[in-house]
Amino acid sequence: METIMKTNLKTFLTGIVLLALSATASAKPYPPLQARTLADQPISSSGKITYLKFWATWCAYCVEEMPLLQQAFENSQESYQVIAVNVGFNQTVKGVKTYLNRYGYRFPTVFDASGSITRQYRVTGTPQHILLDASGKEIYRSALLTDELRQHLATLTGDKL
Amino acid sequence: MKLHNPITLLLSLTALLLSQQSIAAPVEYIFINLWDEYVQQTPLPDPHPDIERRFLHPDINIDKPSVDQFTALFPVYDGLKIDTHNQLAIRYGVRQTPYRLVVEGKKVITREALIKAPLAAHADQPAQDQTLQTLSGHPFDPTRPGAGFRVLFFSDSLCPFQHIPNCERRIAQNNHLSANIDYPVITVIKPFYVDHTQVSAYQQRFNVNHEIVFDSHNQLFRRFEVTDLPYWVVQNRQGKVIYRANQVPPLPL
Repeated sequence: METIMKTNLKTFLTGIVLLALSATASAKPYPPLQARTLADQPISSSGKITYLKFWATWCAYCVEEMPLLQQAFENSQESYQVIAVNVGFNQTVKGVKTYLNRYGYRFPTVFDASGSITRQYRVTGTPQHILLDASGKEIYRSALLTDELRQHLATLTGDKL
Repeated sequence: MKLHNPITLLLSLTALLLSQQSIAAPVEYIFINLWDEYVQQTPLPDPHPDIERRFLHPDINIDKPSVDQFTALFPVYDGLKIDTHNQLAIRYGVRQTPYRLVVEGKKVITREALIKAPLAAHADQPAQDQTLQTLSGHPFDPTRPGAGFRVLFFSDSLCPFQHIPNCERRIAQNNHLSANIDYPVITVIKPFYVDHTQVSAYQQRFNVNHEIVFDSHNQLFRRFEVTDLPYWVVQNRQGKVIYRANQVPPLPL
């Protein structure tokens, strides 16, 4: 009986420690994103609320959402910045530029040629929406464009949905 | 100098020879994207009798059940593995699929992109509105719900998958809802990367107890502006949307 209790206690404590560690890990801010856009402009997430969208032209879900990303960019009113990160896999800079120009998308886009930005933000799927606060902490993450994400963005701009 | 006995020396020598042989044996890696393969299969080069072939999938938009489902359908890719954390892709600088590498020891002796025509993303194709019907053949009109409320449950037959969080639980919730209300419930399935076969499999896998519409041209998702999955929309008898959320509607509204 005592052995079972000790085992249970040990399991419980291990669980608490793991939970605390995972909470610490998820609360840790990401190092700031420093990159150049396809328009060859420097861009940084440092000190700014940033809406990152990871995407690719071959991703049907991503392409479907693009007009809404453009809308979020136009509505941002400097209350947050939009950075579209093309994941660079099965992509070329020329192809991505052609795609963006064809539809008149004007949001800043970074081409992740080596995949390092995708790794930095632990992105394993497209699309991926990540909202960072000014210190680089993740406020919200989702695969698709959810109502919660719209609510976050609307709150930032002071709009009602 | 320490002397080893002959047996230890022999064993060490054998282990050394074996390890060198395993390092030196060439391996062919073929990176594929299974979602592209569903649309258009890669013409694979003939395997070399002395070179082990390993199929790899980049660690993006993938999970084990999707791999298993794919290899069951395309046995030629038997043994396909996910390149976890893209370790090999990063090591060998692979940034496209389909791609072939032959590696001997740590040295890449052959690398080539396997030729394939570019694919257009499904959503990038022109919008079309077509007459819709349920899987059982009944006509479906998005503007005419019928006598009372109608619940539309927007779902994805790729479930379970990472972009559809908690989809299995929500599908069960929707079946429960359908069994407990007098209004019709219709599941609407996203067309991306799937066809009727997967939709029928979804129907069976989740014991769907109501009608399903395969939204083959994505027209219902566009009409109702649904970008989240799974998602509920409730229409009143005039067809007006009176509820929309990723939560089960608290009927009666």
